[in-house]
Amino acid sequence: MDIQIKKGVLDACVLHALKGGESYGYKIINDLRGIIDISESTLYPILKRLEAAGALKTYSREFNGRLRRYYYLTPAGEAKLEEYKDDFEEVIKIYKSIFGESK
Amino acid sequence: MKYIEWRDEFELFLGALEREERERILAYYGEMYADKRDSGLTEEQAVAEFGAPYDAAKKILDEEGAKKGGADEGTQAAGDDERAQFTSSGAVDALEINGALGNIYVRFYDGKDVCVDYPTTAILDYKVTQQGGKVAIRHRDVKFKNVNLKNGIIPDMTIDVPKDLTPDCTISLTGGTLKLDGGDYGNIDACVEGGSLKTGRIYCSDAKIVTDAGAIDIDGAVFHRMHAEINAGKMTAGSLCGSTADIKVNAGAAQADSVDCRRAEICVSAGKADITLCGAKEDYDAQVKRTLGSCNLDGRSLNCERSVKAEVYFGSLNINFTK
Repeated sequence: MDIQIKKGVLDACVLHALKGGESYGYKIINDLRGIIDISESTLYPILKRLEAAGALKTYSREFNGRLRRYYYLTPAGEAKLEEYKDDFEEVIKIYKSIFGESK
Repeated sequence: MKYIEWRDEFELFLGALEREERERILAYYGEMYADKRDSGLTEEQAVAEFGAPYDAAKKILDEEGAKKGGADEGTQAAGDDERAQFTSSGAVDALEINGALGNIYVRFYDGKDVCVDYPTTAILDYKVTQQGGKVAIRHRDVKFKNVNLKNGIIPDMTIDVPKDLTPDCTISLTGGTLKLDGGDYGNIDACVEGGSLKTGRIYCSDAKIVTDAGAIDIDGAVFHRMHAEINAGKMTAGSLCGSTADIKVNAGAAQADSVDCRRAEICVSAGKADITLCGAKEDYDAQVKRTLGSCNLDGRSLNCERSVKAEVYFGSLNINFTK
């Protein structure tokens, strides 16, 4: 997949995984299984990128005697997800007009 | 593979990153690992899911590199070069690797086990500055213009510089072992404050070799001028061949098995020097200045082509001849 398209899709998936409330790395990967397979190494830069963009925030909380980092959406992140939704709808429209008949 | 082994190796490959970022990544993986174990996976399974340490690190580093390059289209090439420490398909003008703590692990290999993959190409400036941990660098089929290697606190540093043209080489060693392959150099400036420096047979213009402690072992050297200063520690040399050799022993010991020079200057302030000059005693004009130490050579002047100047304040100087 084109790297730019892939980035957008991955970002949208991670934002979607956080839409239902805060989550943590391992859970995000598992929740997305079935939609898209992402590895730990793929997820890390996405989370970092989204955090830097202000789309999500993080905090650490104790779990089972260790620290676990939790991620949650900011209003900007929610807006970003909506933006992706609009973008994808447009992409689907374009897709249909390019490939629609032959499919 | 055990998780701790995986993590150590993984960390090696993150050496190019800032310490804070590295720790953040390791914490992220540590948490992932704990969550995998909590979900019922065995250590083996959890580690297997991470993939090879190099591949996992590369994904993260590629992202970092892409970001640097992406910031400004104009610097895309420079961005690529910056992460060329991991992969590169083009020539590299400058490569500088700085590590604060932790490890830099760089291998230039044309064989298996590639973690840094360079094609046959030229590196104009090469600099590794390392403060701690391990440095292992292997070069194959790489030509250098300048090599500047410096390590900090007792890392174990192994560097093989290939027998290719490397005009200038600056080495500052405070610990560990540095092995310099024989080959052509412009100027060599090596300072060994600790650890040991071993070289193969080197060809160069000027060589300045200083040891404040530690050991220098020169298999052989062909040079225009050589200045060797032993402030403490020890220098041993096989054959030294050139125009001028200037060996100064302030303490410690120097030993040279075969010095073939037009002009040899040996000064012993303290410590001991054992020097064998090529040719017969009669081939040399000798100028000897002795204070309290001992010297087995007497002064003489017969307008010979070769000359030896010996100064001994304390300590001992023993000069032998091959004939």
